[in-house]
Amino acid sequence: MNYDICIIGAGVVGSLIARQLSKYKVKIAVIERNVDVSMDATGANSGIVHSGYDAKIGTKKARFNVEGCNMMPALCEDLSVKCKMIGSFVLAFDKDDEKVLQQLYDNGIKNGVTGMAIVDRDFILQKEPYVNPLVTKALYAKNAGIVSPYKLNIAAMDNAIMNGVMFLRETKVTGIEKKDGLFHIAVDVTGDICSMSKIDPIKEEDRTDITAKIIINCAGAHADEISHMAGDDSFKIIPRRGEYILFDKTEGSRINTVLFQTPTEKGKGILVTPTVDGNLMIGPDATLAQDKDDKCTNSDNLDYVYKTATQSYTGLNMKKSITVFAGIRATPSTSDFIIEESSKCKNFINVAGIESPGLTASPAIAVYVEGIVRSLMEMKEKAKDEYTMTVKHDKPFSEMTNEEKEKACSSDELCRKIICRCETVSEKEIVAAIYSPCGARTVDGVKKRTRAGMGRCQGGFCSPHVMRILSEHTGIPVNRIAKANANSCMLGRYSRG
Amino acid sequence: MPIHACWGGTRVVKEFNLVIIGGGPAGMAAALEAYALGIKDIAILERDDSLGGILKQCIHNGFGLHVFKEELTGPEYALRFSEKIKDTDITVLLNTMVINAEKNKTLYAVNPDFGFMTIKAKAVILAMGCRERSRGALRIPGANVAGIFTAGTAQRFVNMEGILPGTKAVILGSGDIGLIMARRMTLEGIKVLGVYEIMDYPGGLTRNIVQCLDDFNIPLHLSTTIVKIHGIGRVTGVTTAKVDKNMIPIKGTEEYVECDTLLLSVGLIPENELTEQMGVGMYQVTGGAYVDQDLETDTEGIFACGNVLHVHDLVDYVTMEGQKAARSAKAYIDESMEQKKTKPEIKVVPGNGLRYVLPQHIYLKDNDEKIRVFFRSKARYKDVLVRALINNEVIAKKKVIRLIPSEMESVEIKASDLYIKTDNGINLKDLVIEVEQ
Ligand SMILES: Cc1cc2nc3c(=O)[nH]c(=O)nc-3n(C[C@H](O)[C@H](O)[C@H](O)COP(=O)(O)OP(=O)(O)OC[C@H]3O[C@@H](n4cnc5c(N)ncnc54)[C@H](O)[C@@H]3O)c2cc1C
Ligand SMILES: Cc1cc2nc3c(=O)[nH]c(=O)nc-3n(C[C@H](O)[C@H](O)[C@H](O)COP(=O)(O)OP(=O)(O)OC[C@H]3O[C@@H](n4cnc5c(N)ncnc54)[C@H](O)[C@@H]3O)c2cc1C
Repeated sequence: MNYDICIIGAGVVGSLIARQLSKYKVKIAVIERNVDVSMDATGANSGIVHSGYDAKIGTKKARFNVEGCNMMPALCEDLSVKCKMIGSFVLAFDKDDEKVLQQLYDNGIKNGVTGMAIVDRDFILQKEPYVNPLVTKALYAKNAGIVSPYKLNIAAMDNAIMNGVMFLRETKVTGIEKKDGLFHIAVDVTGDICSMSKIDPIKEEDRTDITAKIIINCAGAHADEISHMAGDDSFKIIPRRGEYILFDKTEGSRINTVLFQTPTEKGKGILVTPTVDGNLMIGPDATLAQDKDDKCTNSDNLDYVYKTATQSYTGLNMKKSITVFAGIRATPSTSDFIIEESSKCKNFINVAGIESPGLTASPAIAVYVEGIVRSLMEMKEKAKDEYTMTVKHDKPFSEMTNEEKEKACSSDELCRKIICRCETVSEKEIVAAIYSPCGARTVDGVKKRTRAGMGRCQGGFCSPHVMRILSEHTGIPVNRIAKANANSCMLGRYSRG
Repeated sequence: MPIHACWGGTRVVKEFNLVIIGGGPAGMAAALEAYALGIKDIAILERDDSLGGILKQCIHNGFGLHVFKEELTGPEYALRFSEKIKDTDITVLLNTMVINAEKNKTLYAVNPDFGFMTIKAKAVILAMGCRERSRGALRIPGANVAGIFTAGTAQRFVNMEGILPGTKAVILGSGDIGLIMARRMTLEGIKVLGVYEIMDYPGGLTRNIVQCLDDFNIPLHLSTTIVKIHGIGRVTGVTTAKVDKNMIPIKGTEEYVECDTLLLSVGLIPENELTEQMGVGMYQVTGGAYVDQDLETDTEGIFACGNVLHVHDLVDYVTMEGQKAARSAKAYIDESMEQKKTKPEIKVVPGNGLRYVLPQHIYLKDNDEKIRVFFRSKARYKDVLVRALINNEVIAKKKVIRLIPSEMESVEIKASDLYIKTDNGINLKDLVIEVEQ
């Protein structure tokens, strides 16, 4: 199949770029090795919208962080994604820490961050009663917040698909060849979930003989390998793991702001934050990963995360932890984001090394990359009624008022079937997740879109029901329903029949 | 099925004298007892499509030895109650999930036939049972992969859906569900490689160790836990390690066990989200409500019984607790109880060797009342005396041949003794239940 533009990688960066370009009359494919979007860095990170005082002046990180932070609330509004600009504290516990606060503040001013102030102990403890009372001062940043990274990623891809972008999942790029100015992209099919599904099955012709005029490399931790395929070895990606502990919603109600520790030579400390859905989260540490896909958690690291978090926050109750997970940072050897047409390969754009604050920066990166693409290729914008830049979602059942619930239930039978009891998710929401443009095909896919299985019992009750619903609608047999990729089938064989 | 025909219209508001949340053995026993006592307008709200609760998936024997003096399977035991309920005019609302509850006993539920319902009750009995502790709550590190199930979820797949979880399984935790699943999976042709228990004694009933592990040559590894889960996509193995006295893994004792399935039988957590929403006071140790001898919570007219109150090992006690809650609800509805509870209450506290007691407080109301205090021990004891002390004086004693954390025990207290030892309730002291040293 011939495409104008192929985007490799469907993390938040690739998906927002796809959305941004979907308003033009061009044929776009997003190629993703996993069964769903958001299964790498974007699926496992802190979800913080950083205000931007951190990044070194003059870097791409600094620029796109501040721009992205300013764009985030409106973008999330357009995509019906939760984003809460709740502010952040960097907590200081002694004079040395306080010096660093001042440096961060000065750096922030130079980066163009607004809404910062150095505040005293009373202000902090009044806002955050569970902060360690030994705190002396803090850098308060009003323009910081939290967002659901995977929801943003999913909505971006939903939007792109609505505008005609082809999403090739379970498709891994294995080679790139350039002939007569045209890229030929070799791929491996990594699983059969999406071709088994009767809803929007992937057609084989869409991923055979793939060609593209422009490639945008958004392959996260694997971006150096993709760049290598195009003949550009100018950078390396070093995978660094960060581990997290997530707590029950009962714990999230006691914290209102993102709490950072003062960074030292030893590291950035451990943050304590509420999530947009009301849980409490602590993490991440930073350890070198042996393998770019090794998202294992380790007991020593989790202990470290917990112990370090207790230094700044006194409200942790380990009995209320509900899960642990890890994410892989794509740290570039160049130490700054790499967002440019490769000097070695024309029409090949690297969007690589997008480590933190990459989530925050992603809306700004998408607009910047749009500019690069326009400089390389003539693109005409579609007529206004031929595309949309907004995604509408029904309000989740759990967030409705009693009156709204009553109304929803009276008009729709599927609303009346509650599938996930911890998060009060109705069958209607699960079915909607399956039929959405970038539809869920797996148990984790349903979970990320609806929160079914994200609560305190972690799917103990709802996973059999979710599997049944997935199977009923997609036609995939129950014993082939997977948690994540095709190699993660939930069950074995039938015992009878 | 006796669902009231009067439901309908757009706004569904219904009032009952007694609403029971949960139709497991606790809820069914409560409903039948309440009916027998003459309470009119009783409703059971059950989110599943039939009554029976957890019993429906327990197709093994061993239920009802105390109540029916015979050994029944879980579904058989449940059927004895659900059949009786059919002959009453108790309103049974199935597929009805209570999603919200208020202190004033207004409940909000969702049901496929009636949609969103507002339900008001004079008295409420909480009988929501419990859920299983998951991997995340234990924070077992390693890969985030498929093939990890709580034992009850696996049991549901095997017994109710007829699908097997995998081919080679390891079980973490020696709770009863895990033990029963070890046998069940073996019978289905799954190789069960072993059961690993972090404590130095098994968590489940002795009879289950014998009948489910020993009889099938499944090894039980005590003082051992799983320190890492391996795999890409699906579990490929686990690393086990011995633990020291403080339950910290001992370096150098790690062993790799290859498997594609990991079952967790590591404890149950009472399902008390609704209870907490209603502002009912909780007892940290059991994870259930804080109750008096009538199983009334600290919120008047709200009672609790069964696994939602504290995790039981025997269904018979669950049934009895349900009946008791119904008797109390009857007294409450008749307004013959609350006024008696005006006196200050006596706190009941676990002393030496005990993990928890239930009830956690006692009201002095009837001089000839006999109060049964249930308890669980922290460790294993042989041939010990458990005693009840008030004001440092022993008012009851019980010889227990085998006291183990997995088996609940009880001791009976006479209210008259409490009167005497507290100068008719003037000189209040805590009632301590303890293992004699
Ligand atoms: C621990 C941690 C904490 C973080 N915290 C924050 C934060 O608080 N705030 C913030 O702003 N940012 C944060 N970040 C950074 C942020 O998560 C990332 O910058 C962002 O998610 C990167 O998105 P991406 O699309 O570039 O990468 P990814 O989400 O990793 O997407 C890359 C995609 O490429 C696909 N791919 C790779 N190779 C191939 C191939 N050969 N063929 C096909 N597809 C391929 C992958 O499967 C993947 O889906 C954090 C990151 C980590 C790891
Ligand atoms: C696997 C297993 C094996 C056991 N083996 C034995 C044995 O061999 N012998 C023995 O005597 N005992 C055994 N027991 C113990 C005994 O069966 C249980 O303790 C007993 O079933 C608990 O009863 P319950 O009514 O409190 O809870 P459950 O049976 O869990 O019932 C609670 C009910 O409440 C419903 N519910 C919860 N929340 C809501 C809501 N919000 N809205 C509507 N409905 C709701 C649930 O759907 C459920 O039906 C075993 C237990 C288990 C789990």
